[in-house]
Amino acid sequence: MNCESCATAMLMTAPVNALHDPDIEMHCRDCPSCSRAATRILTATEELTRELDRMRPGVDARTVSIVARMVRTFQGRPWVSRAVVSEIVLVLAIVAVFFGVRVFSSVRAEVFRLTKAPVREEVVALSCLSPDQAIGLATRSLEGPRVVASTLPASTHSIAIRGTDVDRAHVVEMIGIVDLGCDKSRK
Amino acid sequence: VLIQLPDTDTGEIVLRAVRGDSSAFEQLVTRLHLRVFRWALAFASDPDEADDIVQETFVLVYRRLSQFRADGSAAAWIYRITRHAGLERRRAFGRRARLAASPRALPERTAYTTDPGARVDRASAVALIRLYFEDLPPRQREIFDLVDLQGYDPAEAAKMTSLNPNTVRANLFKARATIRARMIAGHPGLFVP
Repeated sequence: MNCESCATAMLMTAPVNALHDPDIEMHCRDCPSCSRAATRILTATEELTRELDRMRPGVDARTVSIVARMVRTFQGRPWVSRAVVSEIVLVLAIVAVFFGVRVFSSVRAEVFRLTKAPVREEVVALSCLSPDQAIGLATRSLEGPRVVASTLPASTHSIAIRGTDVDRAHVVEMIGIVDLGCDKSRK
Repeated sequence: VLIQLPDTDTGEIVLRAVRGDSSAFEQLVTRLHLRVFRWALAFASDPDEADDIVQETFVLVYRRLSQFRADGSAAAWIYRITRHAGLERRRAFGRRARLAASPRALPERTAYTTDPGARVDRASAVALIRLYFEDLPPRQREIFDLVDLQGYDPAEAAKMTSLNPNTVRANLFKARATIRARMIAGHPGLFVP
């Protein structure tokens, strides 16, 4: 075997034979150039094999399996995807209605409380607060002009409060807290 | 060879999946995931694209379960599906392969050698063979990968690819000759006066 036939053999044989074929091996013993070429072919092929074999998928098998089944299911039965989408839309609609009703109810209740609740007048007896102090307290205890407090011409120990039941109860409670704190013995 | 599994077991799993065993398909994917990924690399321009081919392959496998013939090779059947998915993708995107440029292709460790000259020569040989491998025409690349890199017998490769065995051999020889002639371009035996 000469270099030419050795090179031809190296071009055509399987990678492992590029070095271990008896004819090539014998020729390569005496020919450093062919020996180097054969080694080059064998090691490069082996290294490329190793590199490709070392690569690993970026997606795990379980995900691949789940996605394959899902895609197949949705592709094969369009009504399934429509049903899933419809179900999601239905749930979203129910949630939206539920919260809408809740918000609407609370707003409606507040509006009713502010505008439609019956307004009554109540006389509040005072222990030690003066009517002016009590009126000041009453008007400051609620935001906005929700109650009207006024003196009673015939009494210096009571005031009249006009407002809804809820607002009047709040004002009476506030006056009660402050009024009870007075020291009557000083009067 | 990366993975060699008993094909009869794979066939049984496919048949269980055909019969409606819900766990069988997952078992099939777990079992063949790496092998299909390795096959897909021959058609991909990078490992991410190989992942896409793997996903498409298993979608097709799931869809075609009923077409599996019990007397055929399950691995060859799945390879053909992988090949179809890979070629379809290549047709769709028409990208050239640049597999080796990917970080996932980097070697985990370098073999120790006391001869720096040999190491450089070895590294350049590996870089060259990668380049030449990627430059091969698609069919030659596929056959070269199956036979010379993955270790399948040419007859087996012919069965897997549904190609004529002579076509497989012809493509294999062309691929080998192209790659090796370029690798040993300066070799005295290749000198043509």
